[in-house]
Amino acid sequence: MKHRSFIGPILLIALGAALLARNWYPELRWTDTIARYWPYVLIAWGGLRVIEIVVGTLRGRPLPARGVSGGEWVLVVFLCVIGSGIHAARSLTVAWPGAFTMGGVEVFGERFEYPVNVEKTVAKTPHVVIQNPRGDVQITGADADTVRVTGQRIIRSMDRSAADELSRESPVEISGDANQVVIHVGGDSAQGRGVSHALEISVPKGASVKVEGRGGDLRVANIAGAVELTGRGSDLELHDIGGAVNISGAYSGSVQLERIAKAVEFNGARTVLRVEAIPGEVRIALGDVRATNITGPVRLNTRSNDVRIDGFTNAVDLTTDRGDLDLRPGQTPLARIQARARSGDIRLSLPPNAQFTLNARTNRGEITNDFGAVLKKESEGRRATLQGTVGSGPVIDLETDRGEIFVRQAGAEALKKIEQ
Amino acid sequence: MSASNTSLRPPLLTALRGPALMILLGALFAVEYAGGPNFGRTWPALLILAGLFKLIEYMGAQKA
Repeated sequence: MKHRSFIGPILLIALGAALLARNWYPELRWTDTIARYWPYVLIAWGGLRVIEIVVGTLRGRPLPARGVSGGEWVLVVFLCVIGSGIHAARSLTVAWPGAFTMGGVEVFGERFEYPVNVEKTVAKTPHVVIQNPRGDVQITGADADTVRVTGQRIIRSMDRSAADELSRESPVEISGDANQVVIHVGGDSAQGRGVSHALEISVPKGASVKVEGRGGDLRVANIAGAVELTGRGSDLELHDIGGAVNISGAYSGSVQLERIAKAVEFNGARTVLRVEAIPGEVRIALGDVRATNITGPVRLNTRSNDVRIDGFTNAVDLTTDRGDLDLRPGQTPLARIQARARSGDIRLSLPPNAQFTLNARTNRGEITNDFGAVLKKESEGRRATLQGTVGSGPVIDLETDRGEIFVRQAGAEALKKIEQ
Repeated sequence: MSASNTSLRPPLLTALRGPALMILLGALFAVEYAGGPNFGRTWPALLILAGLFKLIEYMGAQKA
């Protein structure tokens, strides 16, 4: 006789008990519980199955051919999809309160807010480390010798007493001395339990800043020192920074960098950018990198992004896996340019008086040339090359495996726009 | 009959592979929700565990 598993009945009993509890205690917010604890169903399920197999073996029962049947794996996939979806929706509710309501009641708990206001006197040029912020943070340099943190702690909870307790576990503290300041946001144990912050942090203008983020939007402005960002977040905005900028965090939203006086190093999940300074701006969004008025040498390596750079000095080295590259140096003399795309078009718009040596090659595509017969075009099958020298200038290498190449003369109007 | 059943019996490790993967899957999600690294970064651990089970099963079969 085939041995039947006891896990099915146990899961059925657990499901019945949960639904019964929901009917008897309607104040219990079951979606919140599911969002947090559904992975433990998998752990318990697997654990019970291990016990069943081991006990069965000890009792001499035949081992099952598979510990988990195909049907069970289908259920596991459903559970993962539904559980992850509910958890993602709960996280969304923390960011956008009121997004999920049922009968006028918020599904994932009520929102409680607590004011945050801490301050410490520091030196004129301190190094400020901000640890663990989860939520939106705005850091601004000011003509003052204090570090001040104001804003709100936002807690999603079933009731006020639980929210009070979470609030006590999540203090915002300033420690360290006058030169080395540490702002610690929230107790680690409370993070991920519906606690987030919306903070405005004011630091001396001469400060250097390091942020170890845990999520949310981050805005840093008017800082004379270096800025270092790690961890993760959503949107990122940096402007008017006097020192070097190093970003090695994972930012899921858009990234905007404006008026940065020293070197910028951006190591994102899909884009790596190194540039000596950004007098203009750089915007990195999903599928799109745009830079205007930047100081090279520029090195940009990106996946699945269209890239457009208007106005740059010094050498440029661009690589993309999938996406179009659009380069407009905007001024002469030119510097060395290297642009490679695995799949995508390359557009290069040069001033009419530009001097350069060009090596352009596409393995599958056409080449369009505005500079006339001085550049020699050759085609063989799907492959095309364009080579030649105009005056005495730097080497420009353009290469795409699959895509077209356009070597254009920028019109006077376009040049004027770039110069502006 | 009994002896034949014993020889055809799949090894214990093969039977435990599925449940172990299920436990690890749940643990990886639980770790993420507790503020640890997210599942998008930790999922290859599932492949490693599956590979380890296969390797041990293979080595067991070689010895037999």
